[in-house]
Amino acid sequence: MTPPVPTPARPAAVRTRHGLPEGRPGDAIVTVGALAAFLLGWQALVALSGLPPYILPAPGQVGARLLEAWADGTMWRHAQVTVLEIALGFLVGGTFALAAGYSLARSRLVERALSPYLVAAQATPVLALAPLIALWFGTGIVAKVIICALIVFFPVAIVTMVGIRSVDPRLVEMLRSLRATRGQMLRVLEVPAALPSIFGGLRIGITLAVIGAIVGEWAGGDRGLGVLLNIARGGLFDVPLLFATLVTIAGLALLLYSLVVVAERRLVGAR
Amino acid sequence: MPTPVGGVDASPAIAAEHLRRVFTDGPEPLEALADVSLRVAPQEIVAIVGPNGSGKSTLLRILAGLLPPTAGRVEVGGQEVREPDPRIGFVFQEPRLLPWRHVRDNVGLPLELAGRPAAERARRTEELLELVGLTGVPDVRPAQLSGGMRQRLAVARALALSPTVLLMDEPFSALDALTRERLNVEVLRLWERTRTTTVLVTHSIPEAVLLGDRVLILSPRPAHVAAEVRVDLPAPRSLGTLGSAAFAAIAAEVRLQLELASGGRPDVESRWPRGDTEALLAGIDTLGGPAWFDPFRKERPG
Repeated sequence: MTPPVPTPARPAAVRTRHGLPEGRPGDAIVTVGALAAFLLGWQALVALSGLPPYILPAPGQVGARLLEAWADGTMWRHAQVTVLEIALGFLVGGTFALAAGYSLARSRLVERALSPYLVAAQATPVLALAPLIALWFGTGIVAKVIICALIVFFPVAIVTMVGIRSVDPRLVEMLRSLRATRGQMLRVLEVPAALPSIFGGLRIGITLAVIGAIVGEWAGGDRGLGVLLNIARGGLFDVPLLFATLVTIAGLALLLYSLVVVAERRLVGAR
Repeated sequence: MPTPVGGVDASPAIAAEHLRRVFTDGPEPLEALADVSLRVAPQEIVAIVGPNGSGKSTLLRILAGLLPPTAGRVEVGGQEVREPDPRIGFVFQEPRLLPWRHVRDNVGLPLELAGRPAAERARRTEELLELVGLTGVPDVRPAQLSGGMRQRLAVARALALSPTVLLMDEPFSALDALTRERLNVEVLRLWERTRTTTVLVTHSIPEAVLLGDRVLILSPRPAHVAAEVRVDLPAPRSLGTLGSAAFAAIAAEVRLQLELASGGRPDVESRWPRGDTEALLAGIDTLGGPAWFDPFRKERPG
């Protein structure tokens, strides 16, 4: 009896294990297919359940309302404020978090003194803090930026600390043998080494910043996507607009998240 | 390799006096070095061997100024070393290259940290690559190169600022035997061109004897210099030297001293070749044996 001859591996690049075409075209097909399936499911739910449009509008209705709201400038009027809040909050929170993460990693004293407050602040729901911050800082952009910054701070600070702590001590010794200054150590070794984990924190941070901005706008404000949600649900009772706003928020979050991923690809690259 | 201008009076390139080091960060104090003194003449290569955990790496770190001694002092060119010094190059056991930097940015790192202009860095980096036999190496990340090439890059980096003393801490111990031998020869070629004073810590007796002008044998912890073996082998040394009887005799002497230092009783076999056998083999080696008598031929190049 002859043993079974193993089939030689087929040339790669033709098909993956899943039988899907390799590379980007395949990815796109999967993404578009999933979206189509989701929309079809939604449409089917509306058709089968017979729910009225003010409970669950059909995707077509939401799409039409979305286009209308963008066309007449309503959506952009509110979205631009939210984008600004997120950008500023992310920037401020991220900057403080990087500095805090570095000092937490480098100084036991700082860690001892600050970490209980950090954890406590993070455990307090931002939803509960938002009215207080609105009370203190008013209903303008400042309150929202603070809320965004607060919510971004914790994950970024923690991953920065962990990233800097996990720098290979053998590389630290190598740089010490080359008389690297504190600043050179930071620039040449610590930041590049911690960058992958920092970007992990920034990915979480940017999505949280979107939540922070919407929550901040709920607590008080006259413009912003969170405000538009309130208007659509309350004053106008325009449920398709409510859905259109949700779609816009989700799209915004996706866009911002991909910006972070693109920055990560540029800065971290292949290791 | 020519006998260096050693001796007591010649001013040494690097000298250590009565180094003692006690580590106090453990549950109980650990005395790594008891009393180590050494003098290395300019252009000399000294190999340090010792039992595992005998404090060889501790000694080298103190010499490099990376670790302060509990007592004693280190001098390079007559000046005390208290912190890492530009006159000292250090090659670690692992290449310790920055994984996200490409080859040339890794080799040029010391120049970058010292604030040398980009043009000078580029020129010097090519020079260093040529020195370690990596001319024209693709400018890729270290992970794409072999272990031997990575360690060559580490040697090039250590030489970037033209140090007067090169310290090597078991630099080739992570490599396979063939690569290791090739790099040992590479170090000899490098020394012939730069004549850099070198202190090499190793646990390989052949490596110590092939490279060293002298081999210092450390005792087990707490370490002191238990013995010194002079290596009088004809220059230039090469892989062929490994097969010579004189080499075998010196290696046996080092092994004997190492066992004495470790407190073990050397068995008679380890003393081979001594006496008549040694004399015979040494004679054959100097006179040149008959063409058929070359048990180590396969190790000779060419």
